[in-house]
Amino acid sequence: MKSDLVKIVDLKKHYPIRSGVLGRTLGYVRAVDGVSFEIRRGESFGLVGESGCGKTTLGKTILRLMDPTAGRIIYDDTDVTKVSGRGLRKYRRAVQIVFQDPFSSMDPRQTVASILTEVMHVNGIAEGQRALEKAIDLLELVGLNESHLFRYPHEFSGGQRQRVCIARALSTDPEFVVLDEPTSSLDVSVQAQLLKLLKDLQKKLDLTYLFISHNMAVVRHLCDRVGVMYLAKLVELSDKKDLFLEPLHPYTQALLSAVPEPDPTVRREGVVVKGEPPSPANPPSGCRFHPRCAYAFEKCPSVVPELMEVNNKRLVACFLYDEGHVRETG
Amino acid sequence: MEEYVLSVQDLKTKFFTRHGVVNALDGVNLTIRKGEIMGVVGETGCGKSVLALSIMGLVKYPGKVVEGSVVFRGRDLTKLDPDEMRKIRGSGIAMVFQDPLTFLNPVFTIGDQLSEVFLFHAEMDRKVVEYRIAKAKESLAESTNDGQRDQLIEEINTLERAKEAPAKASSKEARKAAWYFSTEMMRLLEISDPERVAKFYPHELSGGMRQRIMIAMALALEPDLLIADEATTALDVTTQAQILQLLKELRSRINSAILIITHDLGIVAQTCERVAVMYAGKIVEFTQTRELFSNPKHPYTQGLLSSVPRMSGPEADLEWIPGSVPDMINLPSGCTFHPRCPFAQKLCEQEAPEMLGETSHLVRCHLYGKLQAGRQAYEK
Repeated sequence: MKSDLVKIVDLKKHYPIRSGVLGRTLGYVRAVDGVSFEIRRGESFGLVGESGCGKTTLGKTILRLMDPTAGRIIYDDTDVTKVSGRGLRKYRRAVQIVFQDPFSSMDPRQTVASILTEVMHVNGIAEGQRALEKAIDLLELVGLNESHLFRYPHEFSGGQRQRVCIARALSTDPEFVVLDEPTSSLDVSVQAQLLKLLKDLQKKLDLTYLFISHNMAVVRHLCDRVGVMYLAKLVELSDKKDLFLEPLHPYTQALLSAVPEPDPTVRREGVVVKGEPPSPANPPSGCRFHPRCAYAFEKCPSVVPELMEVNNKRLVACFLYDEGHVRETG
Repeated sequence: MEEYVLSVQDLKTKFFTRHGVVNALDGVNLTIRKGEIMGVVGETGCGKSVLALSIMGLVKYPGKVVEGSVVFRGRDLTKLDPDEMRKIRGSGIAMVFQDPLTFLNPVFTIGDQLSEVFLFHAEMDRKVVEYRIAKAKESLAESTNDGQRDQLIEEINTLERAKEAPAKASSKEARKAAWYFSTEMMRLLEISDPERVAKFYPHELSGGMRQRIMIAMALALEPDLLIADEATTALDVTTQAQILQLLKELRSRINSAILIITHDLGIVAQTCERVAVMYAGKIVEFTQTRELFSNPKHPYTQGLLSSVPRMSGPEADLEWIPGSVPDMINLPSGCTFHPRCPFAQKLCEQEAPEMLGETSHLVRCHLYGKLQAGRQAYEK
């Protein structure tokens, strides 16, 4: 059994809605509302969900790029929820992030060399010639080479730029990398190259990934375990194989059947959900999915379902799998 | 003889930039049949959006359609003057873009903007009569009084006769009728409570809802062809599934042909009947969707298909196409795909291949022409 590297407990992140000159708080957008899970050492944990479900906020909060409203983040058996100063710096060396858009996440006036060495300098990893040598090693690691060292971001294609971003994330020798939709702005042929690179790097450097994506097919390709988010909450968590073979939560079922398969002979007869996700500022009562759920019954609008264990270690937050309900309906 | 809605012949669009001439479209041939859903698929920068803009006559400076023709209703659209073209847009060919927020005016309500389509393009005098008929029929359905019913039936008959030569309608009546037909359009797109939504401003709607409004606008005048340029790319998958389902249903309802332009092979596989694969301003393969996915011929199409991660079936390792999309100003000589092609020969560098094969499956590759012998030996 692999040990847990990252563990989050009942994590919440609420953004205040302010209005007027005095900035009175009118309410809160509950971007992440009580999420708990653990990421095992060396695995790729996929976090999927539609836009606005809070998956990016969750990723950033785990990295302490934002402070959580409540809950705890435990990294390598140390509570990092409140660390600051030197402790936070140390944490940030161990955890890194690659953002979605390689166009806006790099300074257009810095060369690749200075982008990479700056990180090493700030984190006290290497200086001067040694930093440059390490930068070359990093570029080679991500499939670029020395000749790219003194170029600017605009001279690269989207795929190459994302490689530089990956190199930058690896420059602090992290153990844990958050990948926030790293391939969604790329063409499929380039995406395939990048996914292969990420897989290889994970093996070579013994990395642990949190892979945030809305693309189910990519998650299926890269991840070991998958968590499905809907409106700030985790609704299902299981091994990839089980999840794609037999999704339990009605939302997961809808999500999977909505993905158009690139094969005209495969027709997914699935549940097409009605309507659109409600606003996280004013989520529905009870189970947040109940207004769109085809199986909703009396209990759903009034009680909030918690994640519970069903069929050997799969977690799902849905009353359909509640023992009482199963007994009544057979 | 099949009936074509649109026939694009040897279309060339160039952009005259400071850095050189970009051959965005380099001799595109395409025919769309009545009522079919056709797909154009390709990666960033292959010219698929320029194709849509060229059909619509919306290519902006420094771009220009330099050669070829776009024949629609027996007329070449590239030769029409701007006024005539404006009449075709909307009533003949309509278009839906990727980002609905850029195309909706933030300071007018949804209802106002939808009404405007009718007020500008439709024969409002006749529409007003149709509106009165619809209203009279509504009251007829509700009425229980026999005398009133006879009166209403009489009124409907008079109005039906008046439809042929409608009287001049006042602008107030016209606006009322346009508003009515706008809400009807919204109902067609499965927007619940359209009377209420019509009073909303664009920012009050979700992305999926805005895209529905854009489609309602595009279909308001029952065009023969709807072009959807990455219309669902910005939407979530569940919303995308809803919109695509809707497009399929509407196609049979109002009998429009639909041209779907996308980078997503999944959308093509699930919605289109025929598909054209574009690479560097040219169509490289053109066939039935089923045929394309079961028997891809062009090495580019093969590469593209094996690089898409799938949702079902065994988890195979992904393959990819080496290199990247060529610089459109300095295109490679011969076949533009040869630097990335695993089967490239000397001939591919020297000579650009023509479209080859039967009309049901066209492919632009020497492997199916001059290099056929080599390919067959290799396959054995």
